[in-house]
Amino acid sequence: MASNKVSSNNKEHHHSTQIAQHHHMQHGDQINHHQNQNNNHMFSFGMMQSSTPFNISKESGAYDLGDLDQALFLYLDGQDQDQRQMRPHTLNIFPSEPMHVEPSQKPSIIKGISSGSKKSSEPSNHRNYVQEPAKVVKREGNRKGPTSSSEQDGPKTPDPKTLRRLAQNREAARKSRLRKKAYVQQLESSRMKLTQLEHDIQRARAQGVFLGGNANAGGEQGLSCTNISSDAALFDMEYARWLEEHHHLMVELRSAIHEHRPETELQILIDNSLAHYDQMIALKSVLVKSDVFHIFSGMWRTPAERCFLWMGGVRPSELIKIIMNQVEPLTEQQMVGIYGLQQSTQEAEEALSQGLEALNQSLTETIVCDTLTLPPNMNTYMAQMAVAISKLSTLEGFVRQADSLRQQTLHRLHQLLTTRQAARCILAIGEYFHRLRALSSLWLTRPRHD
Amino acid sequence: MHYQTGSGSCKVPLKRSVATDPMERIERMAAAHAVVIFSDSTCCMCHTAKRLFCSLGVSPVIYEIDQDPRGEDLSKALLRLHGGAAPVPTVFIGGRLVGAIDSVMASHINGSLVPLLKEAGALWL
Repeated sequence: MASNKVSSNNKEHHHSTQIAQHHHMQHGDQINHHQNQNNNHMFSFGMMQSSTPFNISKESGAYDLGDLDQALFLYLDGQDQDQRQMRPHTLNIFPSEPMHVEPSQKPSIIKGISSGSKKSSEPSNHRNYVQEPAKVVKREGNRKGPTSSSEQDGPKTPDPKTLRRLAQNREAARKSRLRKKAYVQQLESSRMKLTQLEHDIQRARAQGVFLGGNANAGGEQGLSCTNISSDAALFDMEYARWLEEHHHLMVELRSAIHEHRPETELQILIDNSLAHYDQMIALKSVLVKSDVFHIFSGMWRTPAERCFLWMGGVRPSELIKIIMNQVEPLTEQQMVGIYGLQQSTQEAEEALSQGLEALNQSLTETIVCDTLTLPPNMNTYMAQMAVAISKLSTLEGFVRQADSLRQQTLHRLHQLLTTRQAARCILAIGEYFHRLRALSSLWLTRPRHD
Repeated sequence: MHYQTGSGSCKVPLKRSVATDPMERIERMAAAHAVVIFSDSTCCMCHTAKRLFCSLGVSPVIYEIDQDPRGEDLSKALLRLHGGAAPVPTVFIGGRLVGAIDSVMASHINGSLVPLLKEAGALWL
């Protein structure tokens, strides 16, 4: 975008370079102690030639005038009495008004300059501002001629008081531009830091290490503040550790299956895995007592997992769908058992979902009770809220029951399958969730096209 | 009117099938039908229990204890019976106690609920 502006404003660009070099010469003549800044000056004009962010070209012009404003203040202080003569070449470079402002209105000069300084973020405007000093001063001189007092010698000697005021304005504008630039640069660097952090988090998560807290929310929404209870935060850390342990169990199970280790060994690994899942259910059960919504909302899981969230976790019938193809061949008896399990989990899920629906409805009725548009009677309102809270607390029972369902489904599967089948089943489930988590990481770091 | 609690004879001539002991009442009510659910009309988990049985093709008999004048006694008795977290829902099949919602669901998952229903005559193939 900067390059577009550069190419479209070529004429002005060139022009302003000339003016700038003119400035440079004045600079060198008048103010010797700004020598080092001259180099900066040249450097920044060099940059103006190429497609750089706008703030650099803006900076060069503003910097330049700022130095001269300092000089002006010194000069004016030293020349209190003499309002008559200003050195002509100094005057040439004091644009008292930007091009777009009507020269006939005195107050608008100040407005013009401050708005000009605001618009300095647009390089083309700024270059106009810089390039027009001679023209503008002439206009200023013309305006001043007929209207001001006799102390005006000609078009090149405006009132020093005005000059001082204008210079002060320019100084203020320059300072605020600098502040803005510093702020923007700070924002940019923070943004880059944040993107870097997000990448690190995603990479870490892809390896199955959950960094705790609402890293999900942070990744999706940027710097959102996450209101997570301390119990929930503790749970997230325990879950992260559980995931690590789970990963080790799966690795061992996988190698045991592929190395065709004896069934006794497999059985031990299977029992360990099931016990590990039981541990997870127990962890959840503890948190459900204090913060059911953290579980229910699925904030402890990754986004892709949350797509399939049902009552704070996976659907038991989903588990069966996942393993169906992984444990073949099945005997007829096994098939009957598994299809039966699928049906009963579906029926149980449906019943729980309908119970939850009833809860929602009941809650709505409680809250709406009186009309919502009239100002509430405090007593009835508080009573309603108390009832609503007790209803809301029954959510715990639903989440707990859903977790029971998950646990029982897993154990029932183990009952129905042979040892090797059960091993493959557990591995399949572990791999499925691993892939969902990986999907979440990829999703969060996907390239976005603006 | 006076009531005499306990299993002694009731001296007050009320309706025919009055049993003053809540436990007795429960047993009597449970035995009367194949599937009996003690429920609360405001309880959502009871709604879940009802929906589950309906989805299996069973028509349970439902007692809403919040609408019973001696519902509180019943509630306490039910809680004592199965020692669960809540008095309702409590399910009886074929006169025998199955338990609260967790027992019902567990038995459904492990495949024992449907045979039980068939045995009680609540389900026909």
